[in-house]
Amino acid sequence: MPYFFTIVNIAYKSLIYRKGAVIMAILSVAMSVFVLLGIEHIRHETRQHFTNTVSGVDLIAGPRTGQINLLLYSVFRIGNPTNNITWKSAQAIKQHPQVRWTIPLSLGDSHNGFRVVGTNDDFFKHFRYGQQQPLSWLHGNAFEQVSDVVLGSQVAAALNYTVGDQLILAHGIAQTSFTLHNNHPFNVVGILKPTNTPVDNALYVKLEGIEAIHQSGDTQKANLTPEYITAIMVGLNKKLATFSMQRWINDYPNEALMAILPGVTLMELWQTMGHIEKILTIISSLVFVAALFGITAMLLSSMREREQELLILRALGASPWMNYWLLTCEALLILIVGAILAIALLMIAITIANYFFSTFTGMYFSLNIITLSSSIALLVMLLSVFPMSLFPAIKAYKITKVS
Amino acid sequence: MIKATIPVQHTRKEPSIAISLTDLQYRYADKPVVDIKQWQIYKGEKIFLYGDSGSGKSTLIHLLAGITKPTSGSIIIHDTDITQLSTPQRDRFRAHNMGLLYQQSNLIPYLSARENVMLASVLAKKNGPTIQAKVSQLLNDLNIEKALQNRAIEYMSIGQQQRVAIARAMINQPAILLMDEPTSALDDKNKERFINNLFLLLEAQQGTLLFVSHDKSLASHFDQSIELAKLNTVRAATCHTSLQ
Repeated sequence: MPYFFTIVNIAYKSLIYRKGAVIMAILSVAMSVFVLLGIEHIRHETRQHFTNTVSGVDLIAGPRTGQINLLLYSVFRIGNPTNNITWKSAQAIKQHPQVRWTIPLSLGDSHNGFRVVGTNDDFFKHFRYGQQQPLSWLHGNAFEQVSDVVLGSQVAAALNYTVGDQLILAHGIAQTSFTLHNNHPFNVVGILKPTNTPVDNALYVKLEGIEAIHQSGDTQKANLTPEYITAIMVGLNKKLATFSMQRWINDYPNEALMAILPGVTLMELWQTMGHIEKILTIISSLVFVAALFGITAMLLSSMREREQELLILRALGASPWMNYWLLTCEALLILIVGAILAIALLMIAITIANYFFSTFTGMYFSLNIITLSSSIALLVMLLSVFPMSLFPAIKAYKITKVS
Repeated sequence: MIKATIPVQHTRKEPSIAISLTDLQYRYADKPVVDIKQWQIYKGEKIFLYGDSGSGKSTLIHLLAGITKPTSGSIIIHDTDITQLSTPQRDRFRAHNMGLLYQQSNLIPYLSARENVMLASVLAKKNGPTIQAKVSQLLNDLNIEKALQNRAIEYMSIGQQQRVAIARAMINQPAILLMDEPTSALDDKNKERFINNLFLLLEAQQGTLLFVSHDKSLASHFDQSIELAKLNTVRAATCHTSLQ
């Protein structure tokens, strides 16, 4: 034990003695670990976020389009719907004996950059997120009137709305739309509790409300039943029926429909994203390898100036292995301090990112950076020091051998 | 066989040999640096080895310490032929049995006086429970005040550093003390102080001392004075490439 403490003490003091170069090495490690863990964290959190968003939905039916496209616009509100399905077909699906519930979705309008979702009461009853959690109310309750609107928590927070406020929807999804539905203001009747899913970033109105705002002001029809909707989420009585129900929808004779299994389509999305993730991981690994070479180069180039010190250790009976352990210990200290610094920086960065961006992405990054995969990455980093320190140690050995 | 035996005067009846060299040769870059046919030092002797720079004295010290391996020949120290030992074995042997002292830079600059001395005892695994007190005592004996003992070596004068170096060399009570020009960086006052401190401590320890220097004025303090040129048959002229 005193041998161990002696090595750590010498390593620590030797680093302090050379603090200029050491600080640079620590910063380069911190930057690379920051990139490595940051990318890993974003990857992990995004997957978690996406997976949490579609819990409990067995099928999503919509017009024939790309599977990933349908998933992205119906659930994550990314991209635009390309086509609609008729209300009749939606009713046919709802009345199928295998179907337990449906949630109709009508998209295409927005309010200050937040998307508006036309739906019905079934959304609040049947939608589940995370680990099968139902939606719950922060304030107020579900919509009853055609001109009622329910807000996701982020929308309410970002635009500072409370129950009782009035707002006007805009046509299209751009943040600054020139076509405002001025003639049809909506009253805020409820605000949902945060879910950390895209649910938080949308406004919810009745399908009839969507229908009403798209009619010209004077010709108010009594019947506000929609003709078309964008997509429909389906919950089944038995999971086993999923594939037969999917086939039934795909083969629906009266309209060209398509049904997707959100989980399966998500997997396809990951496969597509996998390449990008892989590239990012490779880049961040290369950044780390560069930092590791940096440490080794720093230790190697310090060997000459440390010749005397190494000779002293040898004269005192230190074996070449002790020099190796000393150098390994120094590299480890640099790496550990760098990694701690990186983790602290990452936590600050996440806090800042959550503060500024979560309003738009509907996604809160957790501060829990240390996951299984990131701890494996950190462990690999620490282990990589052991072979790397061999290079300066061999140089130290050569210096002290003949002299 | 030519025996370059050096007449040794010793008072003990059956003197035992501390260091024994036989046909010791060391070549560096194919040039002979050290060539000693036969040389013995008895236990407890304080030998002054006189040599000019380039006479191979530093190399000889490194050979005796087992830091450099000879090209041929044997070095027997306290009945152990160190040329037969592996590198880690020699390192251990040196840590246990020898104390080394150079002209300067004997100490690790960023460690304190106390840590430098402790380091020697830790590496020799001789750091018992009383080691802290022992280190303090030794440093006190060498006139390194308490306040200085915990200060980094880089902030000390050369005179102070060399006295800490004595403590470092002697903390393990080594059987053999090898000193290579330990006083040449010191002024006269510090040189005197160094020699006095050294011999005061040596009285308590029964170690063998080999003190190498070009400064003949120091010879009078020792049992015996030998000229390296007479021992090392390699001519000085060929040795200029040798290591310092």
